[in-house]
Amino acid sequence: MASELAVVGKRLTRPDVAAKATGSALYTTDMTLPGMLTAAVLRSPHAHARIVKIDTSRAAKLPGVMAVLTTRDVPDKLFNMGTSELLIIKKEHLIADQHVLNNPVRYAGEAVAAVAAVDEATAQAALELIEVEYEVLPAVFDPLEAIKPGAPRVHDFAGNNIAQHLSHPYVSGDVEKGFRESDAVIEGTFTTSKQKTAPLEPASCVASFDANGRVTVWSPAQRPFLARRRLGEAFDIPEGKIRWITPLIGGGFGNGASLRAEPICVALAQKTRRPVKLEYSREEQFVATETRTRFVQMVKLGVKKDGTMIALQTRVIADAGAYFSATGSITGVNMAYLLGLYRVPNTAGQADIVYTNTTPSGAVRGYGNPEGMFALEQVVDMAAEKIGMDPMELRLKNHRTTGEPSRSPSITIESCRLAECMQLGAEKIGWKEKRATRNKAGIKRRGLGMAVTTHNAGSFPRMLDYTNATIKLNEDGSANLTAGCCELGQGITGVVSQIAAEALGMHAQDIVVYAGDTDVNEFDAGCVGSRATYNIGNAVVRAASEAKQKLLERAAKMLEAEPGELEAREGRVFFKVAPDKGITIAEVAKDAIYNFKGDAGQISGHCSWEAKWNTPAFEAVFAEVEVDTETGEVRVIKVAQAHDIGRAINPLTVEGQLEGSIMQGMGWALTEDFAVNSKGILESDNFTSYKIPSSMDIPETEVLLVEYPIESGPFGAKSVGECGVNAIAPAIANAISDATGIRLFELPMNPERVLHALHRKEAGGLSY
Amino acid sequence: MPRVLQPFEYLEPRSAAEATRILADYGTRAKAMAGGVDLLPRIRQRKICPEVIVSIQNIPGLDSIKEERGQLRIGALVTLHTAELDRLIKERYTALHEAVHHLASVQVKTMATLVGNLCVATPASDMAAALFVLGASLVVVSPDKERAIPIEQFFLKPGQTALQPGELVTEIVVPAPAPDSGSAFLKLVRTAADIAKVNAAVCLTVDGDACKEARIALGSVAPTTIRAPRAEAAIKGQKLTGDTIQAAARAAEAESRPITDVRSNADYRREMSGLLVGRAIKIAFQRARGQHE
Repeated sequence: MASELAVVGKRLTRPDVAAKATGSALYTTDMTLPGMLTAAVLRSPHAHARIVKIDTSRAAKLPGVMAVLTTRDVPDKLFNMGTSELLIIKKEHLIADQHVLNNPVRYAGEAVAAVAAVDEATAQAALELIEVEYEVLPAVFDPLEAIKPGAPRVHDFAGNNIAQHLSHPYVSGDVEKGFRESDAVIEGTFTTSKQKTAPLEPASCVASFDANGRVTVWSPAQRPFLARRRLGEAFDIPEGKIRWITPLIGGGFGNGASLRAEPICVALAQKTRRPVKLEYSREEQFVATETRTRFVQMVKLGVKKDGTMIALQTRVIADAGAYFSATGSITGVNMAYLLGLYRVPNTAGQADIVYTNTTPSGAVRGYGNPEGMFALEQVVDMAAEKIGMDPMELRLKNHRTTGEPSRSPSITIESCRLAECMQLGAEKIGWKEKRATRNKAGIKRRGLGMAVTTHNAGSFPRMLDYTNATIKLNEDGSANLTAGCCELGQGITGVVSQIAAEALGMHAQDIVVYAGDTDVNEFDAGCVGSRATYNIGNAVVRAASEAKQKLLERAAKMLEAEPGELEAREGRVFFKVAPDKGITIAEVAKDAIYNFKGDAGQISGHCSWEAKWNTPAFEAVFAEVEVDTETGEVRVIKVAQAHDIGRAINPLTVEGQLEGSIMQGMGWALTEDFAVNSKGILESDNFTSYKIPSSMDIPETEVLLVEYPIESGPFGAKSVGECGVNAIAPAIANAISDATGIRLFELPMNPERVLHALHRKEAGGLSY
Repeated sequence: MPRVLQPFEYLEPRSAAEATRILADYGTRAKAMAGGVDLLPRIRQRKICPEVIVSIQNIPGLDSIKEERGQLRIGALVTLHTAELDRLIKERYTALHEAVHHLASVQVKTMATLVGNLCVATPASDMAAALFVLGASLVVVSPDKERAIPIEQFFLKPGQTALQPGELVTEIVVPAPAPDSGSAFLKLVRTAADIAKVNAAVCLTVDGDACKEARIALGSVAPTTIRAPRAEAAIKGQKLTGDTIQAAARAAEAESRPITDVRSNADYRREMSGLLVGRAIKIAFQRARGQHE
């Protein structure tokens, strides 16, 4: 590894942006095939209903309609739309509880039937001709109501609607004894919301069977190989008979970690034997794709007067919605982070995963961790207040650090720079000065809050984390890299090209990346779980290093030298002792193909990489807010976010990830509300009713990269994909509390809730 | 939810007379369109299914803001963006400027028109509240006549205006502000680009510390934008003190008739109706007295 990096660490323009800026980038729905049909889905107006009778005859007779799909036409086989469980080493989370179309339907907006027709207008018209007779069943929308005796049953097998009970696997000590020995015990129950991610591209799919019964699926799935396997399970099609192609993805955020439009689209393609396209509308994207999990978390923390944390307990009710999907593993992750951020000798965690008649929950950026931090990081502040300690001091004293067990106890933390992150963030927000002088009287009050977090790079050791990368050099000195890195807007294409270029001695723009095609790429576990830079990057650096070795060997022959005397950098191979003496990589690569001397051998490298380590990233978030105590409005003035990145492969990309996280975290904290009415109908199903922050709402942000390269990451890199969203909401909550003395236990922390809490405080009620 | 629009005929008349003839011929089957920012989504959502869309974009003379004989005249094609940048509106019709300035995103502002916004007849219209207190009226033409509708008589219920089939709004007319008057507009939203939870506009004419005339309007707390006459009465002819302003705020609260919906709840809206009215009175009062906040 060169001591001074030529490509890694540079703020290079990403290879995907020119096409995106000019509109020429191709996404799933740009795919058009001869004879392709358009699909549309009929959705349930009821939150829970048995389909007594469905008459499709009028729809089927409409000219241009090629197929109508009902429960009778889909495989009689239960499956799970989520993909995470395929990789879980222990199979305890696995629940298969849905068909491609279900009867009864279990949430308002669930698919009842679907149509494939020659165009969208015809498909839509056909939907209106389908006659459905429903027997409306009692429904339940709140997980706390759902577990009460006598509540409507969502699935027959789940008594009290409890799909699964989980005990946190890494309990330690005796938590009751710990609380008895504590000087202060803080307890709170925190409820999070079913946040919707807002990808520009809604769920979509094109499916086409060939004459041999092999199907090609184009879709913005974040895990093409696992999606292929799930689809195959649902339809009894072997993996080799499915080619899954994930083109550019118009925003992932975890939503593409589950199947969405694909099963219905494939069923229609199978029935019609014609290519079919199904593109969800924005309203369908809201109501019929998975949400963040609503958690009700009771968190209890015991501390000594000197700030030593000695007991921590969580009891969780997780709202799976109508189908289980990945809620089990999300809940496991939630408890693991909540109990694993701090060094606490006595811990315990229990969770019930509960069905309700609402849109299913599933993978969303953070995967249970932001929900846990919203609770834990407020409880930590409450404890600090109770023992009269600076909240930052309390965190510095207790957070797990280098050499201690990570949230997965079998993995020791290789490197933790959380203390530096806290100190840097505190300095940039003016923690000490402003907290000493802030205005706590008057109508508009300012406050500062902080929260810290950690997030793994991938899912090892709980899950298999496996990937492959192959690189080959073309005769002009460019290279093709095939790797698992689906581009969902996060910038991974640029990241892996910089890693490969650095490892091989090339320019990043000479690396062409290809990903997401199960016929061409080798297996990869997907762009999820903050794993891509760390794990795919590790495969890429090794594949490129293997190619580099072959490059140097061939160059050595051409230069009549020993490979060890040579180095490659920025497109050239040269003598280490005489850098101006050498040959271009293009000349070597051309010799490897157009050899004419019986010595052809295209330069390539391959790496099959199964993660055996996991070094988490750490982060400190500081927020300054202004609360209007008459309206309850919270204005975020500034967010300073310091992230322990190891090394930023491309600082621009890392900063982009973090700035996006701030916005997504702010939306979840303050405005985004998955509002379901008393009948279970989603009322916020577009961007007029469901408010994400826009460029007009962004506060001053200061994104700070703390760079200490680590051994186990490619060129020292850690992960960044999810970590940034974890600590935004609790930092804002703590700032609101600092400004006003109120404590908010439910998301979103909208003005209505803030004002209500302020009124309660004025009336002499407990602030918490 | 369909992603495609139902087919419709699209016409581009060259004069208001031609437009009104088309609108009269098709009656409720036709819809006039200026910027289209509200109309097109509603067609997509199947809330309306017009057979004919009558674009007024090619009608000359509707895209200007001018002051004539002391009156401000805003044409039906004037966009929010144009109105926002207009110096006259900013200096003299402050409540209207504030309503336009804080509404929606730049992208929407460059498409949406003030008149179009009014014709949607949303109870949450920011422009409507401002125009209520500024005493505006709308010029309405039809094939055979022209009439003026005071804005307070324009809204019948959510989504419904006093326009008859064949009628087209061509202008908003706002009288010149009285000497010693000042206006203000305030609202509460979830994000910067949002429909108001509550909005309030106030226009005061003062004589020293006393309030000679008061006009107060509230939006998003009743089926249409409303005046708050009891709130006005609480300060009209009175010295503006903490107590009288508080009394007006209480009256406004009582005059609001809000509902709970996805943006907010009724209790919050009611309380905020009073609060915003109180705050807007203070700002308008300062402006009327020539003071700047």
